[in-house]
Amino acid sequence: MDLLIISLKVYLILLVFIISLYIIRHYFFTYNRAFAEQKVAYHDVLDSDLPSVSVLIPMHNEEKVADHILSALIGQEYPKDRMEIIPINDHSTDGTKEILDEYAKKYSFIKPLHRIGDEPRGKPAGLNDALKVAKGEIVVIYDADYIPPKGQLRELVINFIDPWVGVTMGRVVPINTSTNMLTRLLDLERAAGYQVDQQARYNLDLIPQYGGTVGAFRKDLVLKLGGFDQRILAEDTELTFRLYIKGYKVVYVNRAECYEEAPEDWNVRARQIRRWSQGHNQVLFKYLIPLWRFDLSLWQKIDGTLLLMIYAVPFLLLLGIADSLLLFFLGEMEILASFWILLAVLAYNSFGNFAPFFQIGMAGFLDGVGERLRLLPFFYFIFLFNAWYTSLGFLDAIKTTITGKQAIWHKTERFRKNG
Amino acid sequence: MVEYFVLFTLLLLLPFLPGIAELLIREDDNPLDIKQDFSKDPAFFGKSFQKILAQALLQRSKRISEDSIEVVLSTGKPEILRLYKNTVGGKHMMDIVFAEDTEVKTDSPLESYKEVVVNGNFTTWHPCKVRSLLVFGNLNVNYSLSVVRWVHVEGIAKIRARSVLGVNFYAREIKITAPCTFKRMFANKVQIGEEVKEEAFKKEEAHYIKGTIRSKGSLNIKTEDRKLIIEGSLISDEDIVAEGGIWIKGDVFSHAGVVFLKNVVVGEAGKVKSVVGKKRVVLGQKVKVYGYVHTDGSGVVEI
Repeated sequence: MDLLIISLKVYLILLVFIISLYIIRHYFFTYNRAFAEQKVAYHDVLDSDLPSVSVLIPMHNEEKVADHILSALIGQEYPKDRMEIIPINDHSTDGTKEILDEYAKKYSFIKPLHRIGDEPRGKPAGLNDALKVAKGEIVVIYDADYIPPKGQLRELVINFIDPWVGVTMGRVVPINTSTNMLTRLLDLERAAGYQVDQQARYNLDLIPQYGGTVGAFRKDLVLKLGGFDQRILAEDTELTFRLYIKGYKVVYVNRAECYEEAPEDWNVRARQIRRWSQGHNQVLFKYLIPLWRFDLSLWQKIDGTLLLMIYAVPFLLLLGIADSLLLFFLGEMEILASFWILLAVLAYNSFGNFAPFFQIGMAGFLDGVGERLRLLPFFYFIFLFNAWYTSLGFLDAIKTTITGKQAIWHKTERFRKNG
Repeated sequence: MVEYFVLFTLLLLLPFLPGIAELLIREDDNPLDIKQDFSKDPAFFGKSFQKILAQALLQRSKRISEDSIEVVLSTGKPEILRLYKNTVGGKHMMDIVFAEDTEVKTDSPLESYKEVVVNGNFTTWHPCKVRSLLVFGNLNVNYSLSVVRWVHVEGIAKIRARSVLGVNFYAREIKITAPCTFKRMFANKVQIGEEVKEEAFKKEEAHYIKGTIRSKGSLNIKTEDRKLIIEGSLISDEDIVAEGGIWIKGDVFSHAGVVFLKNVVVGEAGKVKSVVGKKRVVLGQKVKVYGYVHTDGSGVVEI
């Protein structure tokens, strides 16, 4: 019994320590974004010798959005003789194939890749196939629901004048913010994640994350590293860490903003975040130890570890709640007397650990928005929602890691009307 | 008991009330604004002003006297376009100066809080202090010029007197032979002082580096007896300092500053390359850039 109580107490103290690290990390990011010197990317460079580019767009039943992204890419201010667009039609059963073929007839630089039959499904597998046929030195990836502004390809690609840069990443902004409460909250969460979190990590020379869309990478480099890992659902996070431990940098371009469609349905969001969690935790299991072996700075290793663990923390927290209940009923709860620590932990967790409230507030301030910040208290519910589904994703990741089974890719449903 | 329950419920709901109000009223539910037609264009200011002015003259203007036209620009407020022939000067607080002739010069010091537009070549013989300057021909600055915002010159700009070149200076060609400050300059050729000819860089006689030089620390390149050709870019997290017969065919980018003391060429004719020093750019005698020079800090021409 004593051993159980000691274990429960040690776990709780360890959990408070981990969460305290996250609080410090996010406060530090927010402070950095508010007051420190901001590091900018290379988008101020103008160069007439732009590299050749292949734009890959993974698509599965995307007839609602295909027109929008293809039109936006055709309108890009990038030399057409140095770009090709490869929409990857991944076993679509709607009208996606017909739309792509129609565009290919009109524009010679649009070269659809139709994946049919027994080929493995999913984004990483599709990207690997497309990499084999892509001719560009630089590969840019957009999800099908994105609408890039006309100068964006140049803004993402110009960063590769720096030979240390392996990947660049732009900012994601929901276009359907006004639809309902969920999209409004996701808009705030995204703003905090990019405007504050990603930019601060870039400022501090830590590990900004490549998000798998609105991003670009060197094709040869990724091919040399073996392409995307098809066993992992978060192929983007996996690539980030693979490149980092090889010494390459991720450049975050806050100005390269691109509209996306946020989930409008709680069930769709639940599946999306569960998939993200599963994929991210697969990356955690793969890279937690290697990260500490490579030639990175101590701060990069610490931040990398915290970044890797971000989708595991909600599960640890749920265990912590169960743990504290047990301790309470056993009459052994008097272990954390420092009020300020508890207050900080509670405040942090009450409003979500993906986008803490102070980070959302700072993002709103930087974006010049006002009234939408009144929604901040609702993040309590988002936190509970995220905690549950990311925990399920964490368990999914354990299951796939132990069994070695291929993780199944569930595509996020689209909501756009008037395709 | 009921009143306690009601009070408890109210207190519980209290933090959510502003949010509930926002969900109902929808004061701020638009997506963040992304300019879908944005692309980096160093001639942006001049081009968009030309467009606005042309539209206003066609659709939203009326002649109010022999030398004045009322126009409505993008602000929506009526503004006065003051017409001049071949000379301009004086102080203009509220009106846009528009010189119609193809050869225009100053006849007295010129001060304008608004844009100055010259339809042809413009030569200054007096101090000029303007908000913005649009010249459809060549610009010859013989007396100090001070610009608050932008300059757009369709032809060649020759700066022969100490000047402040504003936030954005665009011309087909820029020749500077006097000390200046700037933020951004773009031209097919930006030349400081006497021109350095690329023919002077003979590959067989010069040191030659192929590829980009990337440094975390500062980068100091100085040549004495032999010239140096770099077939690539220079990139550093700290200062980049170069002098003494160096031809960099790629871009130059520093997260700190770029200092070209003397005799440096960047880029090649017919191409666009950039010199970007986030905190400062200093350009000395015999420096030539084919393309763009940019700093968010201080840009100085020391000559």
